[in-house]
Amino acid sequence: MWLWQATVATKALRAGAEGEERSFYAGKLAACRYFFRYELPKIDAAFALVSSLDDVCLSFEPSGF
Amino acid sequence: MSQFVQRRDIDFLLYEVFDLETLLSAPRYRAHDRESISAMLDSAENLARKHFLPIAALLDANEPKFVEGRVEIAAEARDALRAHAEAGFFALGFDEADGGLQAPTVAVLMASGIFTCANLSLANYAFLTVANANMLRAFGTEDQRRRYLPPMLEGRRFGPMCLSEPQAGSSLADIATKAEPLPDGSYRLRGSKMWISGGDHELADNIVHMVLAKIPGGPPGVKGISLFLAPRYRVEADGSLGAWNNIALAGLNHKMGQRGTVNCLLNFSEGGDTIATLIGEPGKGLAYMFHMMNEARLGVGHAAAMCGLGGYLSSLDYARQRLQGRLPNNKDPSSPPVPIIEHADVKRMLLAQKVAVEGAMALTGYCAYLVDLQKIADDDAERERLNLLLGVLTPVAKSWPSEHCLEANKLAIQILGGYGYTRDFPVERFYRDNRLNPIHEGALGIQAIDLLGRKSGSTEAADSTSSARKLQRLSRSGVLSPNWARKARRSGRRSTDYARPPRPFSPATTSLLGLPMQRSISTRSGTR
Repeated sequence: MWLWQATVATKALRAGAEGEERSFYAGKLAACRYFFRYELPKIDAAFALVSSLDDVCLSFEPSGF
Repeated sequence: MSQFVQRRDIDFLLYEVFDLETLLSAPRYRAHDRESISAMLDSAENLARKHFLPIAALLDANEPKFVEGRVEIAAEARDALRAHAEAGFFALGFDEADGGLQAPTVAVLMASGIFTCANLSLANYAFLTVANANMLRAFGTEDQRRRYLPPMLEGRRFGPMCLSEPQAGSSLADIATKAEPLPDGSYRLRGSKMWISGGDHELADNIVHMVLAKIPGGPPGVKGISLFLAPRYRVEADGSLGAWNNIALAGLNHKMGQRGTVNCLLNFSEGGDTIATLIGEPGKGLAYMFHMMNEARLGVGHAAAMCGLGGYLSSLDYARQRLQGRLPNNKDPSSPPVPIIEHADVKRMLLAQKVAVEGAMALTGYCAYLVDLQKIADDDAERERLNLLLGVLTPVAKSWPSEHCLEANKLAIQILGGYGYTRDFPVERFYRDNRLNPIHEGALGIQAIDLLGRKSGSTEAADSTSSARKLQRLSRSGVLSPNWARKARRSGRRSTDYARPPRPFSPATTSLLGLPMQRSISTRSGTR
């Protein structure tokens, strides 16, 4: 979704958006960059865990709490 | 700056990210054009500012009371909903043939979001009624539709959903409410329903309940569940209101947030019979309910985004005005303090909110846009393709906003600091209101089961008929990796690093961009 929004914003900036419009699109691009740097990498850790089929929650005995 | 709507953002999504203009050229939407959609959004903004926003804090502070078997809610709520109904917002998305305005789903979602952001607990009454009426329209008999649909579309009668019971919420197979057949073809309902939002009140002249119940002697589990319509006051053939239908208010739930939305425990057939009529066929109750639930899940995701938006805009406004501290390179203690928006860590917290809220809006908006594309699709294969994509995206569109926009609300409170923790500012209310969204209409774990268990079919990946294989085929054929993603990847490589991660895409990231995410799971499942 952010990549899509950033693509639209890039086109609008290349087409010469000015003033408030320029700030709006630049904000979208920076937000996309934030998403890719700060948020998206978290997926790798979560995904690696899912892929490993770890069973710590599944096999935990309720008496252990 | 408005505290509850970003029109530039809505227009960006509708006309620049999605292609609403082309959609509006379809015969189905010929009554609408960019100008009329814009007027509709203006009207939503004006109404929300005038009637919804001013009483949001009031409804939160004065939750509904249980007085002598009835619900008491601040009188302003009724007037606000009246104004909303008179402007035609209940009927906006319905087909012209049913008395609606046949506006595109994506535009309806954006308009309803304006009300939601201004006052979620009030907007819920309309949202529930629309979802209820949609189910009635799709599965009700001619007689049921004639009696009940028009006043709901006019916003004179409201409609809640009665699914959960005190002992069965997520597990609806275990419901115990009984529907006993009567000689005239109608049914008598017996049992209790819990967590019924809008279950009893005086905000409308009647309440049309949609109730899940079991007909005695039917099969066990979900196959024995049927859907019934039971009004608060019986409705005569000519549409006039009859006697009270013995649906008793047993108590109210006192909630953390969304307090203006009354939440009830109801008892059916108390002191007399609760007469109900069957919707559709026996045993299909849950299937009908899921029809509504898909729409409701999208609505919940969007409501989460709108709670996030409210917190984001409030904290943005505060950060621009609040003067505190100096920049690290300024060592002069006598210099004036700067607005806190100048501090990098405050910008981080605003950016985190922006990506959560605007990302969530794009996701729910995209799903609504897919619903529209499905409505105008001219062949079954295209409709089925869109249906599969919507099936995968719906649990995500419900869950991602509810998780991430709640986190955004946490950051909004953080930006206001101690002030954010007080009831003098709305950010704590947005947090409390939003905390329900990962819970209702299928809790987060239920959405995960839907996505991985039902939609991806990860445990049955070897089965060539499973949805997992269908998904893989689709993603290879490019449906899950539509043109924009391919274009974005190409332009991302060409241009500066705006849209590109600092290193090559990781396997997980690539999966999110539309490559078969199933592959890594299914190849490893054999090692278990």
